Amino acid sequence: MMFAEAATSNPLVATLLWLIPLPPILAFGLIALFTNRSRAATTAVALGGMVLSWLMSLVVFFSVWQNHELGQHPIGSQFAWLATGDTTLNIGVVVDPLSATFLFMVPLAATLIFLYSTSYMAHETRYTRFFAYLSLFAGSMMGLVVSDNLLTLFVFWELMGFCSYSLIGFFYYKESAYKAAVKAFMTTRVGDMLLILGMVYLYAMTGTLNFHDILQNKEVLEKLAMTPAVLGIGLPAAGLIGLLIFGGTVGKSAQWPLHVWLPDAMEGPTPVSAMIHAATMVSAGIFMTLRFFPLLQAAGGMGHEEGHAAVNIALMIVGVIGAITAFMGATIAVAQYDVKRVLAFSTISQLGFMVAAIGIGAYAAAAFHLLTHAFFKALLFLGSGSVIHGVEHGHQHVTGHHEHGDPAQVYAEPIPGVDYGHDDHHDDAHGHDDHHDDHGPAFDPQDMRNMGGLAKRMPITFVTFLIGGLALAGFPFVTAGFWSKDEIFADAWNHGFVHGDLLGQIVFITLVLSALMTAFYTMRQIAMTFLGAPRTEAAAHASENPPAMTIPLIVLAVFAALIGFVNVPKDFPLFGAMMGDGAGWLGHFLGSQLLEGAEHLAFNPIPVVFSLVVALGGLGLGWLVYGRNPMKAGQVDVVEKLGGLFTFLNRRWMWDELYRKIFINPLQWVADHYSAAIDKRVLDVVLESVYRVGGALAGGFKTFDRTVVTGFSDWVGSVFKGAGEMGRELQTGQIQAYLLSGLAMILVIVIAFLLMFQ
Amino acid sequence: MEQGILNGIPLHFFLIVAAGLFCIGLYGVLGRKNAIAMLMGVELMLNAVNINLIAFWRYVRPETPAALAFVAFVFVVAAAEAAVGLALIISVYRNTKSVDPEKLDQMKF
Amino acid sequence: MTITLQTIIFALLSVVVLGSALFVVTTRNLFHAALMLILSFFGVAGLYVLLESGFFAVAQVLVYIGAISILFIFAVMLTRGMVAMPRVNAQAQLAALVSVLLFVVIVVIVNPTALSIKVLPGASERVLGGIPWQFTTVTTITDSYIKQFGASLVDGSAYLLPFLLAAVLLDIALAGAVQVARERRPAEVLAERELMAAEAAEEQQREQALDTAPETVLAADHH
Repeated sequence: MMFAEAATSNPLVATLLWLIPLPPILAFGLIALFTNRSRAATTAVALGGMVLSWLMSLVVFFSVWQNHELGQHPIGSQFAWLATGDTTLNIGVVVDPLSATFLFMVPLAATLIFLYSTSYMAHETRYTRFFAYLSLFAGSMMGLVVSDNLLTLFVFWELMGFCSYSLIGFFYYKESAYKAAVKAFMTTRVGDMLLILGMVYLYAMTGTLNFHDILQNKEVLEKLAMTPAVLGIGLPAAGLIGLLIFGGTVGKSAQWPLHVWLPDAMEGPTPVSAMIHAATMVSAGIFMTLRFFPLLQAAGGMGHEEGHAAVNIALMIVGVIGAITAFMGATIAVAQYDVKRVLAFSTISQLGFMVAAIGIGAYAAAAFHLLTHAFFKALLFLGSGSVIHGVEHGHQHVTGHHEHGDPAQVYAEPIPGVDYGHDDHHDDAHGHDDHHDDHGPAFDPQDMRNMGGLAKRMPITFVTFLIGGLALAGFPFVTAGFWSKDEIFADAWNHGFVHGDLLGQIVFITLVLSALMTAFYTMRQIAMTFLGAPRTEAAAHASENPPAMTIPLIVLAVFAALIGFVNVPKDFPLFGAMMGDGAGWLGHFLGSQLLEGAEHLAFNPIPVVFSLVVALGGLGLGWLVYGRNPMKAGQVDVVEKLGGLFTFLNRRWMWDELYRKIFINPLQWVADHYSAAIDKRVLDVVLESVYRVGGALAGGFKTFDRTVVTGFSDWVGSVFKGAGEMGRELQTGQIQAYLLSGLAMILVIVIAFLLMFQ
Repeated sequence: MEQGILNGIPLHFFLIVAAGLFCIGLYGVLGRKNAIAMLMGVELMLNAVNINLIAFWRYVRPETPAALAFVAFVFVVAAAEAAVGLALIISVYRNTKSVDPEKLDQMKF
Repeated sequence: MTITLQTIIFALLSVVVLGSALFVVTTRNLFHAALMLILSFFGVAGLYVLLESGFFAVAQVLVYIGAISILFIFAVMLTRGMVAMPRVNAQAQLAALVSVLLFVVIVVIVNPTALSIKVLPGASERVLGGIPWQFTTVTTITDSYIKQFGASLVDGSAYLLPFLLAAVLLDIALAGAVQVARERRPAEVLAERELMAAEAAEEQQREQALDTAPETVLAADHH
């Protein structure tokens, strides 16, 4: 099915789709090659590229957002790339409702983060390199969004993985940073392997990797649903493929069990955390699963004949993983002291929400939550960066120290589960590695216990952070987070308790508890950071940041507050009527992409009640514990009273230690012993003997060359030389000899002439 | 036909004599160790040539003076050549104190 | 073939010519050689008389004997001091052989004997182009052959140009010979000797360089 007709129907859109990923990628090239010595030029190129891409995305979005046909007839263009026998692999670009939504959100967040970075990274000496990587990253994300087939999606997926690695390890001179980068890459690699397997299986079964051709094609989906999977594990092919592809998401979107890299990725500069771990890379995983939702759905058997009683094992697995992740992330976030780590685990938890939503079939709700989460999480990360920046400046102000690089990162706490090799890690109250300080215990500007009272000192940051936090917690009605979370709850309640699906029940209960904890730790974070009195001198001298940092915060805050209104349910009391025809727009828009259409839920007040109770209750509880009596300097956090439970949560449920024990140590042992046993004893011997043979052969050739070849050529030369010397003798210089020889020759010729003609 | 002064001498007699003189001169050129002797041989050869020319003129084409012109020029050239050659030999003798042509081998390899 | 008086005179003259020529090329004493050369020239002049070209006989005596032979005597005088010089050089035997061979070839062509006809049939025709050489009788000539000859030498359509060129040639030869054989003044001689010595030294250096490092020398030559 070619898009030729679709392309001509809107050639502007199709052309723009091809162009959208280019400006940031070209910016990467330009910065890396040409402008890397000039900050001003780099800033111009990077920002310019991103803005250009953003504007083009906006044009595309506003061209298609009211196109009701877009779901079933996406606009795009392709060309044939790889001819393999009977089939041809086409690659191209497409815009359908899902990617249109992303085209709205991603470039906007990315542009704001770029702007923010110009100020945040201003002290960094490798500023231009940062922007080069960031541009490449942004370009890859755009490329992933506009891809119309799994192959190019995967290419950009991997490219983003590389950029993530480079940016996490940006401060490569710090051991914790580069180890974190490798950890991120390795962990996501596991997921990527599963994705590749899924890709290969899919291509083998269908002969194409094009989304439209597979996922909106009833025959293909039926075929995949009917064929049992190769391993004969009771799943249809669709299920196994879907799960394998979901494996990529588990890695990239930090779901349990491959979540361990995301907290450590906080070693990267804060804009990177915001970009990669809020708006883009982790969203890419969810994006891909959302794309393949029809496949996962088909794994439960096609059509409604089996009704909801059919057990879709694939989706069940997806939902369970999401629920576990959501719950785990929330519990760990409660016991973290580092402001960025709280957000990291919060991200993990929220991604779990989305995955769980997919698991119960709430396609639109998951996408909606992804959209809102991108905004408020980016806002929170950038806000945390602003806080860290401010506290760091306050610290400089007080002590006169100036650290190079991202100031916060120099003091990062040791990563659990990572073997630093030199000593046992200290885990005192500050949680830092006290090696490289010569002025007493090092100051960690990321530790919330060193903050407090920043509301007065950094008002803009405070207000925007508050808005973001409220959105995260799901504060009713005026925050985007409320609407998206509520939608998920509504779907979960519907599946679990109205239709009696076990998975839905599990998901609902888990998500409710997680939302409660989310609100609690959010309030904890806000209170510890902004309320009360400053607990350190540094916090007392913190100052607000320049506009390049605060403007993105403000813009994101606006979105975090209002973007929720794109999907107010139609029959929601008061607000539904308020939105009028615009109610539930996003749901309709996205739902049109599914073959079966979105199921329209009637309004049910029970999930809403749960949302309100959970949000307000959690926020209130947090206020009671932390807000009413803000922590004072030196005071121990209440949460620590949980004792062993606290340690368990603070150590991130000990997953890193477990993985080290199960996977890494044995591999290390094998590697060490392999090297000694096989490498040295077998391989080296073989190579040595080959070398000897080669040497002998070479020696033989050398002798041959010297005697035969050289000898021959020398001999030829000497022959000519001898001939020449003999010839030389003729030139005696003797006149009479010349005359005689000439005459003799003439005589001979004459006689011959006479004798010849008989 | 009157016989005249050449009655009884066939042409080839002259030719043989000329040939003999030529060959003797040739031996003088090729086989002598003195440059002046070489030149003497050359003069003998030129004389032989003249004998040939005049003999042929007399027997074959006595009515045309073409051969005689040729002969005249041979005389002239012989004289000029002898003069120049002897001058050269004298000059060489002055510089190298030798008239041995074998010693004049600067043109060798 | 009849033997007449002319035949005998011819034979005598031939003996004189050839004999003295032989002496010229074999004697060690150059002065004697020059004198014998004169004798040979006389014999040739006699042969010219026999051939009824008295003009050339006289010319022969005037030019060859009167001028060239005197030149030879001068040269012999001026290059004295050669004592104990071998008469013949290394290739003399080969030269003699070649000369004899040439003589034989020419004789065969000119006067084929029965043997040579058997060996080289038609050689004479091929070489002489069919001219009947076996002349035994001749036509008489008038005395005006000299007049004709003289007229042809100044006739623009005949041999005027060669005549003039011959005059020029003589001039040049005269001038050249005078210059080449001129007596040099001592200073001149010394300068010449220095020049020659310098050239000889350079030559020796070149020889040495060629022995040790031929490439550089040959490369330098290319420039």
